[in-house]
Amino acid sequence: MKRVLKEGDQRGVSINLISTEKLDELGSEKIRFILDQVKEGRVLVLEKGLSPSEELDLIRITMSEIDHDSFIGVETPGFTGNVVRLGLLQRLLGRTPPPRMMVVGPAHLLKTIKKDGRTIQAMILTRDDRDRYEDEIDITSEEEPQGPPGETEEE
Amino acid sequence: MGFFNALMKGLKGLFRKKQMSIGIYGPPNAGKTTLANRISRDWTGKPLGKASEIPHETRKARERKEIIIKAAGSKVNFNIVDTPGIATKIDFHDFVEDHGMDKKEARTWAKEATEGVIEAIKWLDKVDGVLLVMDAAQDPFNQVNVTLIGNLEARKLPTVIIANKIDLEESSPATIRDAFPQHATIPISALSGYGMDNLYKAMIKYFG
Ligand SMILES: Nc1nc2c(ncn2[C@@H]2O[C@H](COP(=O)(O)OP(=O)(O)O)[C@@H](O)[C@H]2O)c(=O)[nH]1
Ligand SMILES: [Mg+2]
Repeated sequence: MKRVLKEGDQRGVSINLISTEKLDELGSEKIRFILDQVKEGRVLVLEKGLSPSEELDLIRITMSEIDHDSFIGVETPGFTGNVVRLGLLQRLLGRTPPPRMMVVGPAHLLKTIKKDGRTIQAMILTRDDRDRYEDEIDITSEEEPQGPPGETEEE
Repeated sequence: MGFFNALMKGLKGLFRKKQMSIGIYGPPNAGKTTLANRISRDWTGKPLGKASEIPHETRKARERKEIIIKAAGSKVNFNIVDTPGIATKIDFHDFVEDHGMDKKEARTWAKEATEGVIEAIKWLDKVDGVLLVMDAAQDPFNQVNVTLIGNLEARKLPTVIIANKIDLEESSPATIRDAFPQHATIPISALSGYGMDNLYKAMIKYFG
């Protein structure tokens, strides 16, 4: 019999790819959507990253929602806001770079290892790495499988 | 005489530069408070806050008004604001494991740190310019630096990047300069005071 893998099996971490269309559609609900997903323990790959002010909103709201037990913040490897790409002339013309691809995940699961202007290496921590959270972060615990994906879910 | 005094006062008010509020921003432990203290001591004789090796030591913004800096033949009246370090995550376990706090103390510390980040972000609306402090011995492309630079540019806030801790052998101010070539980068050691003269000149030039 073929085993159907679904979220909540708890063996892995769900990685959700979110399209530009979806992000545009979310509009002002974008940050809420991202945080809700991340707090469920998912790692999101955003086709179009956040603008600097959205990033700051994400940080601010993250800080107000950290509860020190189930949510310790976000890890956001991405090239967003990287102005280096624009030449001097473009900057003088007041052009801002478009937001670029970005990953957002829960800080207890996702860790940026190395980052320069051109490549980023991130890691999803395995259970061993997360041992210190075992009894404290319930999104990784076995007794509490996650419920069915919400309606905004992209599967 | 009354008229003359009033006139002089009016003229002075017209020509006197308003106080420039400068926010000292950056990730935790970059050396913001050490720098704020050095600036404040150099010009007022008094420090501003407590610096420490524990991240998020500064959990409330602190300001010192009337710091009058003289450099390059001019003087400017600054209001220096030392802000809490900005982070995307705060894990109380770090304070237990790395700094020997007990759990309760660490949780309180972490909670205050989250509030500090929010306060630092709020201060962005109130400052006229920013000294963005980076640890020159660390990777400059961290999310906090990149996000801050993006926001400072979007708000058109005059910004001077501080490549701090250049007394450390592994420091590389050139890496910071290459990462953010669109901004002035001043290499200093806030701890030893090396490079402060250049910084004061830059503050007058970019904020004055
Ligand atoms: N080697 C070196 N250490 C520094 C320098 N500036 C600050 N520090 C140290 O870095 C740590 C954090 O400094 P602090 O000013 O509290 O950082 P803040 O969190 O950004 O306010 C302290 O242990 C300081 O002594 C510097 O220029 N060189
Ligand atoms: Mg400080």
